[in-house]
Amino acid sequence: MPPTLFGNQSAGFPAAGAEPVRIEYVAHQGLGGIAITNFLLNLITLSFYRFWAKTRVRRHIWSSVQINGEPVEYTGTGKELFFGFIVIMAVVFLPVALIGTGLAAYFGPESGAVIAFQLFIGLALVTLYGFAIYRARRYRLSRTVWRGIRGALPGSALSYSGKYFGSLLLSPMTLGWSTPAMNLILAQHITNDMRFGNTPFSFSGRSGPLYLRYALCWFGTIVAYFLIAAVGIALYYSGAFDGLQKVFASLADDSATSGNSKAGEGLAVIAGLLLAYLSYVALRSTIWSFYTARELNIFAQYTRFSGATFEFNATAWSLITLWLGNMALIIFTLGIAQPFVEQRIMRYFVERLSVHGAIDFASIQQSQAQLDRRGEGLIDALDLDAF
Amino acid sequence: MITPTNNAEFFDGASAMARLVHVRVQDGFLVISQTGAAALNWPLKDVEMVFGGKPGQALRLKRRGDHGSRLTLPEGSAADAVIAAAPSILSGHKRRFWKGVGISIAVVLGIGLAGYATLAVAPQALARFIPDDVVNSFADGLEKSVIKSSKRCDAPAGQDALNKIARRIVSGAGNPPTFSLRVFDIRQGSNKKKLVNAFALPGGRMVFSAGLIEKAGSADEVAGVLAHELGHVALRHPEAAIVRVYGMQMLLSLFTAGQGADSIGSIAGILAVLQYSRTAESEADAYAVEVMEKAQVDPKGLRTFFAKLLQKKMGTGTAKKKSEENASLQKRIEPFTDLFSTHPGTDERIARLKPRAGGTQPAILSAAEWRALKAICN
Repeated sequence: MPPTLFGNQSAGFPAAGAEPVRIEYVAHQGLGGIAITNFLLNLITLSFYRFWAKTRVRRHIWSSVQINGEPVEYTGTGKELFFGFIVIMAVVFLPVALIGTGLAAYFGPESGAVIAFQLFIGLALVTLYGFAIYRARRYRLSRTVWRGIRGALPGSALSYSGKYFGSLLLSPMTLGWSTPAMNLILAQHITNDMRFGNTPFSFSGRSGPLYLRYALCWFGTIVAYFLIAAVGIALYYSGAFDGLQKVFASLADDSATSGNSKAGEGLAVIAGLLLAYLSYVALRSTIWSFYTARELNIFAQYTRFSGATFEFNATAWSLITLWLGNMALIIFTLGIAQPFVEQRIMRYFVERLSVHGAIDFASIQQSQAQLDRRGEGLIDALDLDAF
Repeated sequence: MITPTNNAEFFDGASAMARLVHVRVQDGFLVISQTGAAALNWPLKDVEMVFGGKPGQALRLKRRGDHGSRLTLPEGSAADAVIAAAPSILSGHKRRFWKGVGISIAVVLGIGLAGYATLAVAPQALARFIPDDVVNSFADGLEKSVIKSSKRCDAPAGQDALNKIARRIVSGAGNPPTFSLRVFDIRQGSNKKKLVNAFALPGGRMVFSAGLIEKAGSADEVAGVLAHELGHVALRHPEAAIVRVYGMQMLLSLFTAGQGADSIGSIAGILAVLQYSRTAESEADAYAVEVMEKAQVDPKGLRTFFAKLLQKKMGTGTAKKKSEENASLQKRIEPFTDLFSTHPGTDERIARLKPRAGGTQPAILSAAEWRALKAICN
């Protein structure tokens, strides 16, 4: 925001009774026990405990977030998530299963009708992604209570879904160059619909400031691709590949009865390609962390609530270490530590967010948006649940 | 009037404004008094803990069913008094936990039951409702995978003899289903061993292997097998297998969001479930015995034939087990090695097939007709 003669107006003239906002993450004990019991119960219930498991984790993590000393409360229940799942099963997936089974029975399992139907369903499910994301956000906001006031997202999930689908279509058509603009449109849409109580958040800004970083990352990715290809080819001709081949040939010798250099060669090719691919993915993720950090910071700048502005301090390296730590937690605990991954993410966002200006909380009234009785069925079924 | 406070903080659920209130416990109620407003009375039995309750934590409370009001009691006498008056509020989260565990376990058991119904009960009930063309399209596919490129054995005199046996068996059935009966020279494996088996495919298509005719010692034995397969047809066991396979596929596709579960609906999947349960086999046996008695055919024929095959199975048991272990997936879903692999529970069933009491039976085939049947493949 360009500086004005009067400075930041809302911050300059706080309303009477407005308070500055301090948000912090105050970890408390109990998450380890939740992680272990959730894991065991998910195991014995064939994952049907997941709705209650998620709820326990959220209750814990939400309550660790304190705004001006008052913890945030998660009021959702496992039952609501479970009913959300049941309804989506009954309304979307049961009919799909019935029709698919009927078509397979009537026209044969490998018939054109079945393939066409599966393609259609695949596409139809993609159009539901945005819908699922919006509805899940609505459920979570409506179950997030602070000082007795809950959040809300009373807008239309359908119009968000349309924009989201548009962004999915545009991305490959523009080789990715639509991403900053479309991400901005989506963030703008959902932030402008967000409420705390009866008070809206607002979001405005242009995608222009994102494009320099985007261009650097985009060309960086191409350079990374050719770099890895070049390094691979150089290694191949320098003889390093022969060494790899020998290693695999000797491994094949150990396991098989007859020495087989062909098997060694095949394995070495696969290992070499895998190594190249993994280094490409690692390099690409590293490069795009720079863009993600920029986007997070800019989108926070564009956001307003009542008299307050937001500042987010994401950096590429902090995102990379967050991600690497999460991967390590998941891999080395076989997924048991999933709640700690969620805690790390929440902590990252809370600790790097600062709120400037002051908010007159006494003037914020309770949300009149209707409370859904169930939640998140679609996002669970589509497996889009990132957080 | 100014109300004294004990530093309890109250949010009324209407605005985010914090109010300092005074809290006390009285006659089973939590009484919340505030300046300039009427005191609130929360019945203690409706008070729930949001969190807290541990040393160093404030006690945060809400009233059940109230989405907004929240009361925070700092550590101290007021919080202690509330806990003393209603200690159960500290264990509310435990109740919630066990409720979740209970519901999720009930759901798994319920799904298990539904799965059982889909696989064991519903198919038989739904079997009669499958449209004819669906049944036929399945029968075509199954027939192809059973017969492959086997030679049809239909020497006219042999087929006549077979039809004669069929007519005799049908004469004993009160309400016989329509069916066709054909013989194929089905062979299996790399050594082209003759298969000894009989199949009841959907739509009443019965297929006997040439090996079975060869192995049979008398027309009674062939009649017995025919009566048994007729039992499967009459009781719609093949059609039930179709429903079972599609029920399984549907359950699977429900849990995989409609993708990637169509493999079971393939012919191989149906072949796998065409292995009937013991119950189905016993039903077909019972049907066969009843029909044979009415048709004046000695059930001993079925018994001796089974016994003969059982001996053969015992003789090659270990070798067969070994080869089964080595078998590929493709092999495992083609389980038609002999009559027993598809017709389980033979020992007890043989014991149950008692020779017919009293009287001699009119012969089913003449010696010449029996020879013709034996030569059906020539």
